Amino acid sequence: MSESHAEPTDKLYLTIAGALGVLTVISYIADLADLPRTALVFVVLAVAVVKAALVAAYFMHLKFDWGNVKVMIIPALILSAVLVFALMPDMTFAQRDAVKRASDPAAGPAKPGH
Amino acid sequence: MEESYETGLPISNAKLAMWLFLATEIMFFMGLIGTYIVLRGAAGDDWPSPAQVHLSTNVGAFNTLVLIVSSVTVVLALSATSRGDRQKQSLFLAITMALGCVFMVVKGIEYKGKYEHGIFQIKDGWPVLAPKPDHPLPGGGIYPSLYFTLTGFHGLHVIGGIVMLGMLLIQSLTGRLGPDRHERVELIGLYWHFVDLVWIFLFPMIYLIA
Repeated sequence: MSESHAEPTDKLYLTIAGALGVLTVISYIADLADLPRTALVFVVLAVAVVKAALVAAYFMHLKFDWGNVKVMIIPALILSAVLVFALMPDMTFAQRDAVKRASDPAAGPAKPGH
Repeated sequence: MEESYETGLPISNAKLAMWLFLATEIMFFMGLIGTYIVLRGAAGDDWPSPAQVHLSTNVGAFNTLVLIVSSVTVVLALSATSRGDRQKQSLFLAITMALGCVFMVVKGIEYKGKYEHGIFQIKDGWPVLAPKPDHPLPGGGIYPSLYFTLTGFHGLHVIGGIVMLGMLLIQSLTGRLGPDRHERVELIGLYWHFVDLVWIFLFPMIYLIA
């Protein structure tokens, strides 16, 4: 099959590599900078998403192949998100609530259904 | 005259298969990462600090850079394959493999350190993912279970990648990896980039947002 785009050059690959290195250093510095937890989580995960996007787009050639490959990747990503969000109410929030009630004698009994 | 109609995706069968496999790998790792997110969220403060589990951000950052560089070298090996440059092809494949081995050695040193500090035990020759009784951790066995399952499965994938890169290197050195066979370098490279991608998420989760 013919590819109508120009193939990325070695120079582009090395530029992307440099960007990945810089982004890694940014997340490392964010960790050392003693940011508030929410800010740290946001910065670090945002950097990870950008790095992943660069690796996927250029190294994995997805910038050019995305139209053909998305039908396989998007369902997997949706199911992955569903897995986490489906488990969270019971395994995260209800668990935290149960632990809080167990350690706080002033808290009333759990509501029905909880 | 009848127009021909291509019913399949305009990519090769091999590429389709590799991407399907990577989609299953996304599900596999999201099962593990999702578990980490859910259980870490539930634990709240009942979680060991980095000092308690001897987690070194420097070591994690070094390993991240090792895998990033190895992703670059494997894509340079592909570029050399397309050009027919056998010397660069062999060189970059060998460097990628070597960097994979460096990653695993550093991981091994980390695991050894964790064992010596009592983060997990070995009973009857089998690892038990719970801290030694004289080194209790907040949350008990949750941290070792999550840490070693996540990084252990990732490490096994790295080893699989090293084996495949080794096969490619042998073919390259024996002159059997010409430009007409660049697709196998591309597809094994895809797998290697995916392994790097997973680590790009594991590093901040385990080392930075600890």
